[in-house]
This record gives sequence, structure tokens and C-alpha cells, in this order.
Amino acid sequence: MSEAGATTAAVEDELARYGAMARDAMHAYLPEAEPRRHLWSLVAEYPGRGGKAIRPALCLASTVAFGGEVEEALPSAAALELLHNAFLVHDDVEDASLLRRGQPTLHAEHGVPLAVNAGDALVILAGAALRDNRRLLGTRLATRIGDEFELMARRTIEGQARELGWRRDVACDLEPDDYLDLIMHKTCWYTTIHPLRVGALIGSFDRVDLDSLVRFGFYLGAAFQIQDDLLNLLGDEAKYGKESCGDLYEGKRTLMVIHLLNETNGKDRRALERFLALERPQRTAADVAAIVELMRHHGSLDFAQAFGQGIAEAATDAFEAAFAEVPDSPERHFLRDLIAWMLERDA
Amino acid sequence: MSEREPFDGLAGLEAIVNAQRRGLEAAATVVERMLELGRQSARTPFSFYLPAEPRNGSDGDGADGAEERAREARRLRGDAERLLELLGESMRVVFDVAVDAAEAGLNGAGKAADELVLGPAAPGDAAVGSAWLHVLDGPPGSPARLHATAFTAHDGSAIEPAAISFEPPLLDTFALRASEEVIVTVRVPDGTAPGTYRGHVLAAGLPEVGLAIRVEVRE
Repeated sequence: MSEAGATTAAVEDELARYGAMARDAMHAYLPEAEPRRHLWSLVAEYPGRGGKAIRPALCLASTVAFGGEVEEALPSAAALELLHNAFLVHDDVEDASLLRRGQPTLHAEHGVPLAVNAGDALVILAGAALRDNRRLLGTRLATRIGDEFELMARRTIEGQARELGWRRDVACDLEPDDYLDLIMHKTCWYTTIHPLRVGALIGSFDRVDLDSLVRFGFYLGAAFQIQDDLLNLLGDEAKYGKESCGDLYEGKRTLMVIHLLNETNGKDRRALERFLALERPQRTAADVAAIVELMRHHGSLDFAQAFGQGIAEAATDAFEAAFAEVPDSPERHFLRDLIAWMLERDA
Repeated sequence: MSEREPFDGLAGLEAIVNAQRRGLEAAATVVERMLELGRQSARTPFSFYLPAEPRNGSDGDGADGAEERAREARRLRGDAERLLELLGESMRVVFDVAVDAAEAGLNGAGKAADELVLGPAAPGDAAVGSAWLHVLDGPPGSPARLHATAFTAHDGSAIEPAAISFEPPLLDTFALRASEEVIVTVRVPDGTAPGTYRGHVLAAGLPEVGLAIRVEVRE
């Protein structure tokens, strides 16, 4: 196995280990109660489907790297996963997505009303997990983590609103800068920045400057999202677990779409604008294939890959700045190795 | 992921460099904007940050020793913080108990507090209980004599006021916001029918004061 392959395997092993811990913690908050058929069994569906567990892994590893114990961060990791699953349920409704983690989305299986209600329940359960921080960490630190949680949720919802607004308004006058600003809010804050900051808060007992983790978390999260966008177009659906080209069917303004909007004119540009103005059910497989072909022709895929590579390299510098005072440890190594893994992953 | 043609030649390399430069410039702007937003917002946790403290000193004892000391200091800090919170919580509970006791006594607003329940006691026995009485308002005055109404049951049976006594018999109202524990004794007369008897303790000269009392009489 190559060195890069070994690193990827080691990162995936660690992700699996942290994921198992976080899932155990999360399942402790899932009620075994009635009404099971219409609520609690639905609530348990997405958490039971696994996932990459990037968020809890970042939170738990960061806690230990900054000097804490993994057990101290389990309620926060569980809360993160619960809220993440709530976001997924609601996002799938908003995006009319069909597949989630290789299976039908919750609303596709049970209908929109029950799915939305189950998503609401997941939000409430996340609050219950956070409340346990008071007993574990004391009121002051638990309050700080609660503030962080609120900030993260707010940023994420703002980002989601912006993206939905672009689609509703058929926004076409966009630049890569707009895309980065969008994913700072929509993806990075809750996928990377927040888990790292909460881990540092717990591990250091609120004694470190968290601004440097915003920078590292953003570069790491942006590399993750750009790779996710590429996988959505080019990945193996069975491995990736989401609908192939689902982002295009949903009219998302990915980096490739924005690049294409800026690179085309004349009939290609008009065709792209017409496509983006359609409702999801009106977008055909032929339309989507034509857009992908335009992306290939205009170098949008290569642009996104190069763009992501540059961001990942900057993430390495940002990591060294953020973790300069953190002693060497397996957790520190893991966090650093995640940068390369973000671009190498195929699922 | 399926294979894609990379950028070709010098033009391709230039395109890559341009894409990356553009990405890095935009990313730096986005990060700075976000940090500035955090600094400006008093509501967000950014404003509470403490300055960074190096976790390890270079005191020549080696990284392992310094790291262990840092962990130990952190644990101690955490334990102390939890202990203080526990102490604070204990004080709050003590305070709540005191307030509950106060509410069980008389209050300045003249509202009836919760009932003081005495007994059960058999005829010929005494039912004893205590209540904290608080003078919350009003001008200082002479000590007020405590007395009780007759205690009556649903069928009209009664325990006369003479059967009820107080220790001390006077409520000291000289000091504002004074609190005093009063022992209430109800001697259940022979021949009293079993049942629940209700009545009130009153203070002469303090018309707003009244404490409900319930006495359970058994056979």
C-alpha cells in the first residue's frame, strides 16, 4: 500500500472508531417509546444508517489533542450528530432529495409531514444531549458550549437560506467568492469549525484562542465541500450514497456551476440559465448530462479540483498555526491527516 | 471517481495557478469577514475569549512532565469549578428551603400560606408542630399575642381555641423583617370525633396575618 493509501486507511479507521463512540452516545438519547411507528422509529433511521462521522471525530479528537478526555466530549459529539441528522432530514425535504446514505430519504419513505416532525424531534434531542454538559463540565463551560452550538446553528441556517434563495431567485450572477461565503455558513461552520472549537473548549477548559480554528476549520471544510460537489457529479453512486448528479437536479450553485456560468456565453449560457430556472421535476437526465458535458468542455471540473487543492494546501498552514501550542499526539496527527483525506476520499 | 483529462501544458498549469490563487484570495477574505463579524457581535461567544495560554512551558523538565502538569492543573481547575458550582447549588437549595419555610408562615401580604398539618392525634393526646413566622412589613410595634380560631370539622364538630397554645405566646414585631419559630400545640379534648379539623392562627394587632392549620384526629 502506498504511503498516501496507508494514511487514508488510518484516517478511515479512526473515523470509524470515533463514529462508533459518537453513535453509542447518540443512541442513548433516542427514546424507546411510543409513538414508535410514526415518530421514534423515523427519528432513529438516519442515525442508524451510519455516515462518515467527521463532525464527532473532529470534536472528540480535538478535545483529546487540547488536553481533555474523550468522555468529556461525548454529549457534545452526540448533540452534533443529532443536529446533523435533523438538518439532513429537513434538507432532504427542502431539496426534494431521493437518496440519503444509499437508501430512500425519510420523506420519500414516510411522507413530508412525518419526516419534518421527526427532524424537529432530532433538534430537541440534541438539546437534551447538550444539557448533560452541565453535569459533566460545570455550568460555565456548558454555557459556553451552548453559545457555540447556537452560533453554529444560526450560521448554518443563514447559509441554507442563502442557497435556497439563490435557487428561488434563479441567481446566475455569482462568483467563486459567493460560493466560499455560502459554504462558510452552510457547511464549514457546523461540519468543521464548530466541532474543532468545541473540542478545544472542552480540552483546554476554555483557555485557548478559538479564532485560529475558524481559519483552519474553514479551509478544511471548504476542501471537504468542494470534493463533495465533485463526487456528486463523478462519484460512484453506490459508494457515495447520494443520488448521482443530485446537486444538478436540485439546481445547486456548486463551484462548477458558478465557474460554468462565468465561462459560457451565447447559447450555452442561455441553456444553462434555462436549466437553472426549471423546477426539479422538469430537469431530465438528458439536461443534466448536457450540463456535465458543458462543464467538461469549459474546464469547470478541473477548475474546481485545482481550486480545492489550493484550499487544502492552505489548510495545512492554517493547521500548523492553530495547533502550534498543542503537543504531538495521535489525535493531532489524525486531525492533520484529515486534510489530505478530504481530497482523496471517494465516498 | 471516473478519470478526467487534466489541464494540458503551460496553459493548463497557468489555469491551475490562477484557480488556486483566486480561491486563496477569496477564502482569506471570507475568513477575515467572519472573524470581524464575530468580534463585532457582543452576543456571540467571540467576545468572551480569554487570551491564549501556552499549554507547555519550556522549563527544561521535558515535554512529558510539562504536559502531565498541564493536564493535572486542568483537572484541578475543572474539579474546583465543579465543586464551587456544587456549593452554589447547595446554597441555593438551602435558600429555597428557607423560603419554603417562610411561605409556610405568615407573610406581609396577608395571603394564606400553605396549611400547617398537625397530627394525627387521638383524643387526650397533643398534636404539635412548628411554623416560622415572619414580619415582613409594617411599623415596629408591641409584641403581638398569638391566638387561634376554633378548629371545625365538616360536620360542625369543633376543637375550642382554649385547647390551642403557642410557644412563645407573643410574636416580637419590634424588629422589621424579624423571623421567629413558633411551636403550636393542639390538645385534642377527650371525646373529640375522629376527622379533619381546620382553623387559623391569628396575631392580635396584625389583621393581615393568618396561618391555616389542619389537625387530623384519629380514634
